[in-house]
Amino acid sequence: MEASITLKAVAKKYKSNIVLADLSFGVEKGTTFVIIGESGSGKSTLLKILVGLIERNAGTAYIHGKDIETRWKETRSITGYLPQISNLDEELNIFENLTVYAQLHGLSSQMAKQKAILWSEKLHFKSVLMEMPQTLSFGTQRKICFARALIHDPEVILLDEPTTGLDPVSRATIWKILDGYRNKKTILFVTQNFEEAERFSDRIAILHHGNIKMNGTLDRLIETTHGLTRYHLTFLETPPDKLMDELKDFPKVVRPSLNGKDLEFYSRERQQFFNVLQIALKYGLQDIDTSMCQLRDLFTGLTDGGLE
Amino acid sequence: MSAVIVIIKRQWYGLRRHLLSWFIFLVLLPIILYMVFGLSLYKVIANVNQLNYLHWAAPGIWVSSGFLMSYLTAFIAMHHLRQTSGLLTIYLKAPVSCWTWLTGQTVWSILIGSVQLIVSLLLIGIINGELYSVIKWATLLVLIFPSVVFGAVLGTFVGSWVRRLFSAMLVNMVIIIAFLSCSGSFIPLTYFPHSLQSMFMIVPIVMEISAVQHLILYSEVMFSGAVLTLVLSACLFILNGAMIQHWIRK
Repeated sequence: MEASITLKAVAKKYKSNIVLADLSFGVEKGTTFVIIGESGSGKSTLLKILVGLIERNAGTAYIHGKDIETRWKETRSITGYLPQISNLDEELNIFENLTVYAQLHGLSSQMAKQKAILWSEKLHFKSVLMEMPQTLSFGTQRKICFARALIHDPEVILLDEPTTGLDPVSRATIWKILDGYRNKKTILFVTQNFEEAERFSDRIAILHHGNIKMNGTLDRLIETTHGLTRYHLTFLETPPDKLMDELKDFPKVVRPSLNGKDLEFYSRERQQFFNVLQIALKYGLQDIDTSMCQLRDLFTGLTDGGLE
Repeated sequence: MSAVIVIIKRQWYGLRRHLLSWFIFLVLLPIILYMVFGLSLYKVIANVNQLNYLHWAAPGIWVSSGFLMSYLTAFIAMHHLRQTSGLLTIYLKAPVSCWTWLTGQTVWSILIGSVQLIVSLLLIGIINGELYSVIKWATLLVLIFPSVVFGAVLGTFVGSWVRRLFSAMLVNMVIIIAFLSCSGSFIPLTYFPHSLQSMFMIVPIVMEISAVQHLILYSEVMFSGAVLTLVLSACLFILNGAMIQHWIRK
């Protein structure tokens, strides 16, 4: 398949702080690519570089085969960007916010007005079109920013934590719209929401300290854990600290952590679980939960010392 | 070109919510300048080169009001976009270059400054009973227009680069006080010591004001000040654009 977004050895640093280090990856046309990472891992910086808001220190980046630096006009006209913060123009009402932005992307005045109305209907904010942004709730402002990002019908959509601060209904509406773009437009979104990442992505990359630690389909990523299982035990009472000392005798019990009444650990061998269970029973168990490793586990493991 | 028009439209959308207060300011500015500087200094300086001081000061009011309006419009707009709200970075996400944005802002400020200039010409002309030919009025407009352009460019520059509001206040105060007192708009340059006089006289905008006064006094046209002001404005515009291009996307 043809590449829609390509990054080659992209690096960015602020003074001595390296935000992105030698980052290389590609996103295929018409696919949804998700980048997950903790705060400060460089997710937003990456999107800002792609959209031309900040310059990289090294490397090259292409959108639809066009260098974002030398052919910025073309790349920006086919890109829609939703920033992490809602930053509507407070001197303009919502309708003006949308139409001005659409016209700056080359839409005619008439078309811009039509599109603004269309999006306000799609995202259910038509009743506030003539309101000023500062009078609206965060969630509504976010929906308007989303509409603003898509008003010029971009081929590449860059979203920075798109559903943060939205109520479940608005969240569902936004994902329904994005789902409609599947296989038609390239979507690159960054998030800390694992559920959304698992549900809506074709490929996932885990960004940690400016580096891609893993990149692949969800199944492929989960496969790398080689059948690692997560165990979660809930005690009746908070167990004593010596429980953790006892678990040290089982080296194949991975990353045990005790948080109040909850004990969590990973293992590939069922026998290890039985060993832990035997000890745990002494302290009175209330509940047991086992599940295959999910993206959240993989992420936590990767960004916090590994799952081995 | 169409992007410049959209930027001007955006500014208009913002302004039309404060149309009444803007209109009041538009009318009051030349009247305040006339009352505060014109009438008070008239008590001290009755005539300049055999011309009644109030007639002599009229060009100063025209130039000052046009310059101040375009300067303040440009400063407020640019400071808001670049410093206070940071909206410039969001608008620059669109396929619009820094140059286009700067051009849009400057053209908008020039338009507002020009409206102010016309209102001032009319008001002070009526109050003072200035009776000139149409050609003379047109020449006056042509001579004064570069100061409006310079005000817009300077305001955009200051708005782009002076970050803190307190610093901006200080810079604005210095520019406004220096303009009103040392440009020869209200206090004739002959009242200053020789050393300062010769220093002020090489400033393009001072040359321009002097040319306007010269036109009223002797009906002679001197374009050098206006041309130099335009050249200076162009240089400052290019410098600002290059700086924004270089720094804003870091």
